Amino acid sequence: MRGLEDYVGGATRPPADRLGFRDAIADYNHRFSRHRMSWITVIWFTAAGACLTLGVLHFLVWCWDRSLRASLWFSGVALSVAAIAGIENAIMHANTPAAFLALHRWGHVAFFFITICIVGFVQSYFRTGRRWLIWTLIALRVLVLGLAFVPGPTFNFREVTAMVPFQFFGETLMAPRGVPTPWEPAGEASGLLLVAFVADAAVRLWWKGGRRERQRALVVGSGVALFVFSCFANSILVHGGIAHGGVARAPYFITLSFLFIVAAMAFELSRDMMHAARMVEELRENEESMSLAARAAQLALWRWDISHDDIWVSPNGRGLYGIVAGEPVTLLRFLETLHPDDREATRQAVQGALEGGGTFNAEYRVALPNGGVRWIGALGKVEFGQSDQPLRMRGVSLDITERMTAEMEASQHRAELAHLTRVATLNQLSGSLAHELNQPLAIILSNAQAAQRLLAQSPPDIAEVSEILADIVGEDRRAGEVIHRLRALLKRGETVVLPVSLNAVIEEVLQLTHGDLMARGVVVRCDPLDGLPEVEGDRVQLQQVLLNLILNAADSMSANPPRERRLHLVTAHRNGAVRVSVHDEGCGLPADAEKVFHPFFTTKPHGLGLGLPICRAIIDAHGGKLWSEADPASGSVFHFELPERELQPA
Amino acid sequence: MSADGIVYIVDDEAGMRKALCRLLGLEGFETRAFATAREFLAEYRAGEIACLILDVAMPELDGIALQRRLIQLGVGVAIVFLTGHGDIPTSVQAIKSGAVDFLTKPVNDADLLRAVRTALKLAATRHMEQAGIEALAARRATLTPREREVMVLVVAGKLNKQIAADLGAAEQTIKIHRGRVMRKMGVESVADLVRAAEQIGIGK
Repeated sequence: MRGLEDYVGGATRPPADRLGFRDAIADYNHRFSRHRMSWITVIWFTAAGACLTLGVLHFLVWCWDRSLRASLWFSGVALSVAAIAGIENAIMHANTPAAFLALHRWGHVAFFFITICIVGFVQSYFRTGRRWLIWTLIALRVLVLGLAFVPGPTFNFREVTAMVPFQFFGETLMAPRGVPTPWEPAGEASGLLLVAFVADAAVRLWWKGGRRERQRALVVGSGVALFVFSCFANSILVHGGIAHGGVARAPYFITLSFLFIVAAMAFELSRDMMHAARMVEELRENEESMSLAARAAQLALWRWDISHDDIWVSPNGRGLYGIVAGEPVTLLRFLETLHPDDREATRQAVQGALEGGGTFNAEYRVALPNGGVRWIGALGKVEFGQSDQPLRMRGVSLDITERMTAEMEASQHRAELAHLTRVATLNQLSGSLAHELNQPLAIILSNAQAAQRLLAQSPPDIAEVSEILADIVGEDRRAGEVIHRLRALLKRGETVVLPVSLNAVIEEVLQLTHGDLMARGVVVRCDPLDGLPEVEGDRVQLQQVLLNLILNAADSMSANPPRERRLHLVTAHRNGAVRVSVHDEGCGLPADAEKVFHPFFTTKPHGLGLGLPICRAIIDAHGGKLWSEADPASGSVFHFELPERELQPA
Repeated sequence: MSADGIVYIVDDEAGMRKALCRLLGLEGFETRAFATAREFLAEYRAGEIACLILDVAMPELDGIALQRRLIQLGVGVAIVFLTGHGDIPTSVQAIKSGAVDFLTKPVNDADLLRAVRTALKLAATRHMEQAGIEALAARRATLTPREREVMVLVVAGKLNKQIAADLGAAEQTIKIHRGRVMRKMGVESVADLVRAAEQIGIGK
């Protein structure tokens, strides 16, 4: 910096030189109007015009679609080249050192912008540039710009003493005579650094990408390399001449060099556009075949523009939802078409898709004007923007009324069959169930008669009587519970899905089967897992499954010696599922363990062979699975697993 | 108040045990209740005047099995079965094996008390018989070996002369032995001696 101060201090220029740009232009205009138009001027202006057009064009392209950053950077490059062309042409015709220096200074501004824009273009187009190189380049260019604009002649020249005319292919051009500055190579260094940056990014893209990426790397990389190389050569020719002989031996031809890069970039961008055009064509074809397929499959297509809350629905889709043609559709209008019971769940499904998952999958009913309902299955996918904000959701809807009706009928049949087998199972249990009821009744009777005796004494022991009455109430409750449970199992009910604790279900079924198991000499061990999560399901149906498994286990051990009739129940929790295992020490399974789940397969003399198939159907309908395996020690194990209930967020 | 005898209760239902203890306690019976047959076997001491109210359906050792076990052990406790579901084969088997009664739950207090009293009376009788047998056995223990030989032959219905020939002794000597046997066993006639010998299992 010290050198710089000296330099500033020793400046010997008229003050007007500081703002010499206007003078230079005036001077240039003057010359231009006097002389015939030189061929250099024609070429340079043609190049400037072409670059200007390209620049404006791509700027407009970027304005139209802000996501096309490469176009913005390219327009910056093209506009900077246009500016450089103009400045260069003016430099070649500059008469006074002051005009030359002013133009030269503004040339650095254009250089600054073009460097930034090339870096931006390469980075947004390749995405493989090294950040430290980018920052070094920018820093270097800012330094050069700063040095060019500090008071003093210019970045490249310590002083320019005169403009010397010289002949160049029949043209008289002006070259400066002067003394170059010592930091002049910094300019060249920034050029080399730019080449290094582009080459590095191109090589990295080459290694990373496929065919298209390699082409890009090759065309843009070599275009930039060629430009920088010729630019560098020109700079050496001009400045080297000044360094050695004090006069440049060639004019600045940087514009021509720049044309390489503009051409390479424009070529690539045009190819991209052609590619896009071809894709638009393909897309249209795809869309056509898509809508054909959709029509054939009776799919309704829709697209929701989320920011404007505007839903486009294909004509058949409007029919599906009962929305007349031309009526604007919003999310609220869509939800209004649904059955009131399904609105909230569907709204939540939409919300869920927007907030996280990105996919919308729902089945809901549309309330028809005639009072009926239409079941619709919808599948949608959310498209997210760059900052993860949801932009659009597009998807399809399908009339699934028939399927749902069939499913509901099947479910009803299953429920009826389940009920029948349940009643049949309870029929088997009736003897021991009578015992379950008899027991509390016996206790009540004996207690009541004891109380009668107490009351006949004088004075009666009232404290003892009230204790007896408390026992009677307790036993009565117990009998009531048994009856209540039986009634639930005997009821032909609709499936009611509620949170259920499987540990509690096991306890209830063990209470019901207690008498039967004891009469058969079966010893029960139960290891419920503490803190077992709840599942969602129909309590009665799950009781039926356990009842079946427990009674089967007891049946399988009927031939065992009395001490070897052990039944072991375990509950466990893992991977989001709750598992119940019923171990027995019975006669085991047939070689094909799956056979026990086939309808009408039975090993019992009076068995129907429907118990296990229905258990499996029940567990399947609960979204779980039921299977069996041979116990390593003896007998068999039946497991069933149900998905753990997801806790609703508060 | 008929407090002569202990009523044992074996039932796996706590409520049932409590109710039975209450009822029988109010009638002046001494009760001891157990939840399982095993606990009862560990606590029961032979030689008491006692009856047993026994549930049939119980985990592990059930009522019928306990009855069988007691017979094997030679414990003559009087059993009243009290069951939730009495089927005919089970009741027949129980009675055949010597049960006093086979009642079903819910049981009327009068029926239960009658059965308990019957059972205790039977137990008392058995107890007394047992006491008589034990007394006779004690008397027999005072006999000399020669006198025992003579007693066996007398019970077998042999005359003094035949006994003397069998044992190689004088008829007069046998006569003296026979007199001692009658006196020591506390009987007046040969017929009484034969009955006593039967009771303590001699001469079969």
